[in-house]
Amino acid sequence: MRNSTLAAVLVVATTPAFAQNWELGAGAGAGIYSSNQITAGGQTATAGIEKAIAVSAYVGQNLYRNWAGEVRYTWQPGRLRLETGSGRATFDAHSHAIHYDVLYQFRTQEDTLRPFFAVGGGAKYFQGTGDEVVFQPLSQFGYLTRTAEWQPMLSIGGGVKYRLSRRLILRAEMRDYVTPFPKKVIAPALGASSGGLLHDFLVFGTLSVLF
Amino acid sequence: MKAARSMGFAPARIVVLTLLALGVAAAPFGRVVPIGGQAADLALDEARGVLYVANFTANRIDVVSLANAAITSSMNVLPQPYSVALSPDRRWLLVTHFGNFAAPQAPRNSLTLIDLNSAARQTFALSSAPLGAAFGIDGLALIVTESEFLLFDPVSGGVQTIGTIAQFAANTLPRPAGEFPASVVAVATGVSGDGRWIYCLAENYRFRYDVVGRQMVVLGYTAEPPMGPRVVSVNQDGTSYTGGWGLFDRQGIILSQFPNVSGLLQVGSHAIDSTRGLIYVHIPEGTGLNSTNLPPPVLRIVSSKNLALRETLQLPENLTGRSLLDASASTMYSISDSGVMFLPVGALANERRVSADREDLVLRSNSCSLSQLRGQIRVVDLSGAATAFYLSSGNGIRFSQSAGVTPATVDVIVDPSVAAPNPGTTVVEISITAPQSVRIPQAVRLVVNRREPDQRGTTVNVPGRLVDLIADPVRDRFYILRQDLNQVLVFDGSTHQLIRVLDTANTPTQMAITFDRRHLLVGHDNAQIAMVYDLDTFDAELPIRFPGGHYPRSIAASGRAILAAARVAGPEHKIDRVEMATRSASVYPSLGVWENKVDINTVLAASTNGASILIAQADGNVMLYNSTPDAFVISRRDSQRLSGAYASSNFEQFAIGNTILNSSLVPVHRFTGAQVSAGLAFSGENSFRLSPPGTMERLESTLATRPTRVAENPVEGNESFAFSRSLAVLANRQNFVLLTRSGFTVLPWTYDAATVPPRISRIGNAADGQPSLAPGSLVSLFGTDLSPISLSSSEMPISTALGESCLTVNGFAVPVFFVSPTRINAQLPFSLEGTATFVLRTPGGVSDSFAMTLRPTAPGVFQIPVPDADLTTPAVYNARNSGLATGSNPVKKGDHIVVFLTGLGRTSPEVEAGAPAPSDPLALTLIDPQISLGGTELPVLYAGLSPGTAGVYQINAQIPRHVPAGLLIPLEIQQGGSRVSVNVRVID
Repeated sequence: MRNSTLAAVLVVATTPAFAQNWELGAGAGAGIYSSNQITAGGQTATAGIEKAIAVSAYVGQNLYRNWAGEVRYTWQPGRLRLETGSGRATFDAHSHAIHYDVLYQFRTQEDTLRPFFAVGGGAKYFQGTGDEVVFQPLSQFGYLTRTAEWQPMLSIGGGVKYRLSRRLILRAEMRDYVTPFPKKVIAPALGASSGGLLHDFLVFGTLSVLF
Repeated sequence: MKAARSMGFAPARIVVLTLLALGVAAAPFGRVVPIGGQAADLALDEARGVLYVANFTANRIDVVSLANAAITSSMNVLPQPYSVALSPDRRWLLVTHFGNFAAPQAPRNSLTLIDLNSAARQTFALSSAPLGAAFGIDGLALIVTESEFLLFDPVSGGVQTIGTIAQFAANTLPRPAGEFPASVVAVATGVSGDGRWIYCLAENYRFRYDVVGRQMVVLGYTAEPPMGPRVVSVNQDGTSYTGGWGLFDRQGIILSQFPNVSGLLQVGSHAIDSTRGLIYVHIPEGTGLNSTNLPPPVLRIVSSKNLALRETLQLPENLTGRSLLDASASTMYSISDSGVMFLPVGALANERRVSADREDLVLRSNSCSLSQLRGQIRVVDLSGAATAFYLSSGNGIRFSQSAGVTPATVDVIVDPSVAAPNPGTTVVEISITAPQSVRIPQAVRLVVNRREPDQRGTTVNVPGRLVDLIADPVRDRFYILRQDLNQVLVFDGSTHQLIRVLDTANTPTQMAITFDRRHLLVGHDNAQIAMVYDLDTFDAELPIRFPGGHYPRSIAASGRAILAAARVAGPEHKIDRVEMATRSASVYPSLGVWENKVDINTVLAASTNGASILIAQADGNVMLYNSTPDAFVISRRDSQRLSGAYASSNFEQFAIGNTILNSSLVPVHRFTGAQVSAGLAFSGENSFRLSPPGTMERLESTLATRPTRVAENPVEGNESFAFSRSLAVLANRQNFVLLTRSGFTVLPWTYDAATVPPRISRIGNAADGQPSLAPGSLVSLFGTDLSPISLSSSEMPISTALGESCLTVNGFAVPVFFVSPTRINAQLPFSLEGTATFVLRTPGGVSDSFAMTLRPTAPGVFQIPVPDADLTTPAVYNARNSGLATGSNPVKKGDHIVVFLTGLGRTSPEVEAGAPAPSDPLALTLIDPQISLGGTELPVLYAGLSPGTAGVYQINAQIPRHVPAGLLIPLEIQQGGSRVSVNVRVID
């Protein structure tokens, strides 16, 4: 079984380069969120999402010599958190991000190493999945909620493509998913102030196929 | 259930009432042997196994077999055999014939001497009527005639006159129909068990004959009522005897006498059982009795020492003359209405005798408690037999079984209404009826104490009739007189434990301690002696003998004289002076310049420094004896009548009833209040007053302090005694002791220390604290000093008594489930309407009234405290996860919610306040509430009391899809014009 799969990959990798405008890839990585401050009653708590793995898949198209565009989906199971110096509350959650990036790629498609920048936009779906508790710690600052919300998302990043073969590319890249703070999932308490943007710094390693 | 209970109760009550109506309190004890005539006397011949009965009217001596209780033969003798006497050697039976016929008939007075060995008979004519005869140990018979005392030798037939009687006149025959022999002849004789002493009781005379010394002593007497029954019973060694209603010593002093006697000569009897120290006695009690209105006959078994009652047995008929005990004291033989009665007193242990296991059943509760009180009594048959019994009592008292068979443990259930109108202690009798029992069971005294929070003191149960109280001035003790059992009860002043019981003579009335603090003296109403006890050893010493006919009811010891106020069997009652050295008393010829003539209700009170003795008389007279001149120095009468408490101080102050008197006995202060004092005491310059229905006052410089209520009422007065002493200051000056209804109450010295009464500052519903209340609402009272302790109760139904706080609304105690110094939670009755007036009672006092106006509905959503935060959240529950709807557990569209509230008003069906709400059927609100969320009306699925809770309602509703989401969405409940709103978080 393993031999037949390898044979299939090699067949794809050795096909002619003329029609290699599309790139399909998938990978995994990890993300670190930025923290936001929630202030209530003169006290401050840190709110956000815990660092977590991320898996991502994308499909891209080389539009021009150096430009490409790709649609990307990322799933990230990060727990919501509220934290002060003396207390901490968490709540299971995950997010789904889908966005379209425009990539500027240096060098040519035939080069082995090809750096690129990416910028794009999309939306991110935050969903609290934990078990609700009546009295969550630090609820004077906010509530970690079993609900979901969409937020617009800006995606900025870059990376490098390493051509393993004619059709097989290994990518190392990073992204910053920038969204408004998800105030439904992490709902500030009455009288608590919060806001700002939420950055989600992601690093991926992916493998893609040109076709 | 209630119906079944009442059905079970009614027949038992009917049985009891029927039995009582028939006069059947118990089974008769004793076997009657009719003789077909009127028995006048009897003699016991155990050796021959027979009893000789003088059949006065049938002119014969009936011989009754002891074995089968039947007449075996009769000896016809001369007419009117009145007395029979058996010689010590059992050879001779001497019969006297009372034939004292008046002209025109000729007297037929004579003697018959029967030789029981040969059946030979001799008759002797007498010139005067023979009244009685008795053999002494010397074999000679003492014959009492109407004019002389004769010694008759049965062997020789010789007669010797040893004395004559002047002014003694016997009745003559014939007599009016219906008279019995005892009242015809009116003379009785008795011989001591050792045959050495013969006593005789006649009209106005008593005789004592010393058989060995052959000396006759004649004592005159007067008695009112007459000295009946005309029977003499002597103990084994002749040191005491009962004659009529008196227990005499050899010198003729009344050691004790039976109380409340009728004086009937021909009804009653007694016999001394020297072996057991008992007297078996039947004397009808009551005044104005005659043969037509006699009470059911009973045999009382009393102590031969002081006539203290041990038990009472039902008799089949009246005893009417002499009673004799056999040598083993196993059977008593008595003359009775029908002839002779056999009473197996020695086998009483085998007779059915039903009794309760206690004299008192004490149930204590808070006056605020509306719950039933429960206690237990055990009904047993002392013989161990299974015997039927019935219980009955007053209204509001039920039994787990009002009829049963011994042994049985019976629950006594007391409805709160029994004591409700009378805060303090209520006493009710539980009567026991046992038709198969020869013993008449003594009723159990049910003592129900429902004290209010501000009633002070610790009560100690002491059964019986308690009539006097004094504190030992130098020992940490106090003494209580228990009159019904003739006892001095000695209690430790610190532990309040009974440490000694001292027997008194009959009907002790008052105590005194001698000035040297060594002796306790006890006066009596039914004894002509005062008991003397050594207070260090508790030994009873030689009593003080009073002049004949003097009953020392009150006694007091000054530094010089010991005085006694004596009830005198004569026209005037006297003050006597006691000489401790000779243990005697003598009557003062005068009280200084005043006549020695006092009211029968006179009490004496000595100051503890020995300076004076106050003499208080019920007719209003007061006198003062001063020990310095040893004289009566003051006599005044400033009122028509005096009664109640009395006391003397060491500072020349005196107190009687409600009046404080100065050193000249001039009233200087009058206590307010209609009720006369029950107790007065001085300590230093302070005076203390106990008055019904249970209030203590401390008087300093004649200014009354605020009255302090004590735990229970003072003992009830006795009609025969105008004065009482129910308050004592213990020598340690740490406690007061008060005689109260269930026994005594101990008050700390600082009983009236300043206390802070509760103050209600705010009242709101217990859900959200808003000042709007409805019938059935749970309420919170806020204020200060609302309770000395914090206490909560989850008991169902909710009790109206919690801790020491009692909350009433419009006068009715309401269920309370939480008390603390600053907050009390309670439930309002569902029946309440209009204005609700709240009053709170605590040990600190009574709050001012706090009035609130009730609305038909006043919903308030409960607030749940947020842990670790000074926050609350409304009691809105998310049915999806059964959790409280909070910011972290928000409700979602489509969820079901349950809102918990109070104040939704009346329900159908009605539920009693404090009771758990039913689940089947559910108690629905009479006025439907509307509930909306963010302006969107929610469908109400249920609105009513939450099953199993008291005063808690719930509204179940569903959240539609189209309600707005948000962190603070208003959830509004409207009901009958009332509205309440809370915020909940709603998410999509």
